[in-house]
Amino acid sequence: MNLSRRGFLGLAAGVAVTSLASACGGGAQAPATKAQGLTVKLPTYTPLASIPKPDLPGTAAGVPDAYFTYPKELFKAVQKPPMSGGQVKIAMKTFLPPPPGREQNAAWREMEKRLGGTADVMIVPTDDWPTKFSTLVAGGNLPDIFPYISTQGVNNLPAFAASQCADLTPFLSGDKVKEYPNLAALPEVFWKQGIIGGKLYGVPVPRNLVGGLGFYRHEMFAQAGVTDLAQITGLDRFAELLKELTRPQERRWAIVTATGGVFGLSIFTQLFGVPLEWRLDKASGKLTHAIETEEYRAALEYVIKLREAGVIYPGSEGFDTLKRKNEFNSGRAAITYDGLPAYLGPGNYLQTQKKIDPKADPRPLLPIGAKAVTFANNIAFSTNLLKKAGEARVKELLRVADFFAAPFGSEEFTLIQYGLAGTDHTRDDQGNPVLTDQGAKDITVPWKYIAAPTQAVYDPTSRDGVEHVHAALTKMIPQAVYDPTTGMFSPTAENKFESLYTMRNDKVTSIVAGRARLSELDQLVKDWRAQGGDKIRAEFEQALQQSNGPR
Amino acid sequence: MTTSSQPRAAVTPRRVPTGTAGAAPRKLPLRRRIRRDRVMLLLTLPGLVYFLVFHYAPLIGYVVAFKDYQPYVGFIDSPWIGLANFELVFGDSRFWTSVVNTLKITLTQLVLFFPAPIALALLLNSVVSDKVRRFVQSVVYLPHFIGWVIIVSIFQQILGGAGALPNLLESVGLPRVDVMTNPDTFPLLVTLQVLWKDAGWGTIIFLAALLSINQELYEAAAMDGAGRWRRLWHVTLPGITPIIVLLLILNLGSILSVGFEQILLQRDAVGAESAEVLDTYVYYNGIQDGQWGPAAAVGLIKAIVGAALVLGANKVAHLLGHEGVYRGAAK
Amino acid sequence: MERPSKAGLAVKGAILLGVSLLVIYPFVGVIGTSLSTETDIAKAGGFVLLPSAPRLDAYRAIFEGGTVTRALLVSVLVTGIGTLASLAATIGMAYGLSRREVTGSRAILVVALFTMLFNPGIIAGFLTVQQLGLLNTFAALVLPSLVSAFNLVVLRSFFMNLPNELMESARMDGAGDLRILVRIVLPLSKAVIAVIALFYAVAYWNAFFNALLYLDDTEKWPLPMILRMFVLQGRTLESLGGAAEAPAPVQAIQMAVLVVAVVPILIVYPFLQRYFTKGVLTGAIKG
Repeated sequence: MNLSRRGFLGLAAGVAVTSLASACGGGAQAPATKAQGLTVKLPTYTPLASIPKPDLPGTAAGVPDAYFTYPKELFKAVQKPPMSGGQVKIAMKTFLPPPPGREQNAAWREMEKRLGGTADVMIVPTDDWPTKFSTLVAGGNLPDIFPYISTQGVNNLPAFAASQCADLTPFLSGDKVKEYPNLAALPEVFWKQGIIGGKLYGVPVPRNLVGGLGFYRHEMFAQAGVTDLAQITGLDRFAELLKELTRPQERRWAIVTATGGVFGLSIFTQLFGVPLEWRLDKASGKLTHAIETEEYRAALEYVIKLREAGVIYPGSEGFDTLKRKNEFNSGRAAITYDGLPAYLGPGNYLQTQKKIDPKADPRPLLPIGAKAVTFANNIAFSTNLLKKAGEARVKELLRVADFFAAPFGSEEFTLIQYGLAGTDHTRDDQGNPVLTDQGAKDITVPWKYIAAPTQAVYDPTSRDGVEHVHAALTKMIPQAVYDPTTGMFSPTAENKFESLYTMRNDKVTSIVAGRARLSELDQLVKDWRAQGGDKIRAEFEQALQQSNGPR
Repeated sequence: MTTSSQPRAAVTPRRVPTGTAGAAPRKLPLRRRIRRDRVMLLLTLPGLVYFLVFHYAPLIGYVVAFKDYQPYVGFIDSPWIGLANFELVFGDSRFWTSVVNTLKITLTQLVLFFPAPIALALLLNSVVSDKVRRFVQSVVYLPHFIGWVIIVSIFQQILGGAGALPNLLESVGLPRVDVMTNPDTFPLLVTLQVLWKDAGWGTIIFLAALLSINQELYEAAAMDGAGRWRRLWHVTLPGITPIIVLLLILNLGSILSVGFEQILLQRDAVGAESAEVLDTYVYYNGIQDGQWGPAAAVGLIKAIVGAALVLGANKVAHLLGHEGVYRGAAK
Repeated sequence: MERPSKAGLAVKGAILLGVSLLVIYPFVGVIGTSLSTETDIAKAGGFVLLPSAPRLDAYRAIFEGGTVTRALLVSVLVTGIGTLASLAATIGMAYGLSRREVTGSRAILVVALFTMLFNPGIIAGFLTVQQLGLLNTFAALVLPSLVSAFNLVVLRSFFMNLPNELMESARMDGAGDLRILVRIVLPLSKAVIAVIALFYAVAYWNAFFNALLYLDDTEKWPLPMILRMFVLQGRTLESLGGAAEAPAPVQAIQMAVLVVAVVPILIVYPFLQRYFTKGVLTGAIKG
């Protein structure tokens, strides 16, 4: 699951059609139309021995290591170039502006030297990737490595994968992954994201598991008498606090939301302990969907009351993301919902707010109350698939992936993130890499989205920031709830997920906005069940039965 | 052309067969006619080839409306599923809601937006000062180049949430009004945005049409003592009527389409009940799930409705004595 | 000619002034925001009319990449060549179809007209371009959108409304169809041809979608595609790694992108505008 599960496609989601040229192989007549469980043996987790000593250590449960400064001594994580001549074609979606081409890009040339071959990178803006992807598929032009997210031009993923993609199970399953030590250092939870139709196809780009509950302005909370979130005894007290934080005459509200955000509902579904998509009753093997739970109804009621109490920035349900960030950054709201990755780093909340107001103290919001959970909705940035090929080629591509999964503090990681030493970055007296002007441009080649190590928390500009994130993850990851159907296949979910999601989101938005009554939630659940919800449930329950050891 | 009453028209040999209305040009064998028209047909050829290659060859893509299409399998090998996609769409109440919403918006735009560039062009045209006219004209076209993301954010800044207008209303003691999240006024809001973006840009074509009016007609009218309003009514408007009728008919053809991005950006703020339009419906209930079939089915429905409206409106235009978009030979 | 009344003038002036202000005001904001710092933008709520300390960071961020200069060249060439090619094809076709008696002209016009309504979608179009071997060529930025049916129909309508007498007399003098086009139709249609040229040029200048679909190589991308990436940057959850400062606020970059895209149009526009706002003053239209 991706944080941007329902991202806005900027443009041009036209009606698309036809394939004159059926891609390689062809003849694959939609095999997987039945539910499929999780039967693959995942790659054995084998941590690397030689990673730099963290300032704040992580845990086996998935809390990442954190660093205040960059390791001074770099080490080599890949001993031998993964390729022996030849070329690899990589398509990547990116958020970044386009980089200079290889001739003007020292880092790119160095990368190819280290890879031992040519790396042609097709760079596509994230918003446009679904469109581009569907043309690549239809035209039979798939590159060697390409990202897959759920909302794309394939409506039968297992069949597509079986026909077009390299099955990685024979190369990575169990101890076989040890041939690729950096990939072997990824815990199982990430590999689960790469299972399609009972086989391992995807190489994950790990993130820190939980997306979090958004952010709050600590100094505003302190002004209202709350210097530690633990002082908020329960959700009733929290509601009171939100009212105290709201001062319309000073143009300040407790919560700012944005369009599509259902008035910040995601914060409260977590606080009320709603499951992420499905809740599995282990004894009976039965699934209950989030919107069918009492917790969901309670969260919804709570948000309705908040809106009625006027603590939500009026009209902010029409804001775009930039406007929402802007209002939060400028102190006109005390809380906003956004993913944890939006906290550290240039242009993100911490640095931006400090620039605007040195007294600003934004921090990750933490679970409040006894029932709170956190959603494991930021497990991977994306999952990348490899084009079907012979054994030798697949192994070569996996070595390339292994290269890009080189851990924090390695030479390879440094090259991927900061380019070439001297040209693209220099190191300050602490050892922290500082990008040069050239470096800021060169590193926008989306290398880091091809494959990645587990994500260390690191920001040399703010020790406090690193501590806040590490503390938040330490608190949230043990409370994380996972979607029990991850890695399992339901044909109906594949074909109707976004449609049903939109239906739910639309109705719930209207209920909170006051355009519909809370009682319409029952009708919504009925409609949802009739239009595919029950079928999806049955398919997933069947898939769960077939699985070995669900989480 | 057939309105020419000049006697010398008949002198031109090749005009003889068609020079008078009702004469049957088909008397000439096809080969001779093609030979006669060869220059005209050759000039047409590059464009015709373009349309056939880049617009007609891809039409085969519509088969997807009748298939369970998988891009990697190809349109030939994807299995036929008959009318299932159409049944799915027609059986969905959200589809019908989106049809109604689309029509509400396009009809509002037809009434409120369509005349605006014409009025503005006439107004500009009546300005005596060349400088003023050019200045205004070269300012008002600018918003056309602003993308919807920024336009919506500008509107948000002024009319939305804690924007300038609600703040102003509040400061004078009136209740806050937020049109950016008001479902009832959504068609008006969308039209207002289109007005701002494209009313100026739309004048360009009418200014060109105004220029092509024969100046002698004005002089003659003035000699007859016609005042400004009468000249407007009897010379200017008839002079630009062909292009107005033409654009009106073409507009009808797109009655089931509204700016996708513009709506997508604002849909959730006012709620799908009033802001879901056909294109967003297809986006959320098809394209995002990789279901090309329902999307193609809706596209086909839109095209057929549009074609019917264009052909129908064209007929009506003929009955009213206008050229419309096209008119057959020998009518 | 009678002079317009004072009241009439005042009303007219007020309307035009109002309309102009409605447009200028947001544009001042666009420029202002593009020159603003994070703090200015945050305080103003996202839209800055007067930056407290104007700076060119956003423009620097856009132009420093080096990719923009090359893209600018690509865009200029594609716009120039594309507009000329489109004009030629459209004028030829519109003229060819402007006489009702020409064999097949009605059928051909309907063929063109229907392309405005039937649009079978991205993948079908993509496969056509692929079959023609145009992928990764600059021709793929021009050919798939060579003739706009809308422009064609409009131009034809103008041609048909030209005074017939001139053509007839030219024909009497023995002029052929081509000669009539060059000597009579085109000179009489300067205004509408300028308009159509503007439509095409603007369409080519702003087009990114063909580049997205048909050009895999970033180095071949035209300006709008590059600018699009700067704009989309604003949606990011991930930040540029490293201890670098953010080059400029996202909103500033967004607005700067708009300015960069519009300035060339501002420069070219007056040259074309001459043709469709000139001459109105002559004749009896005053008042």
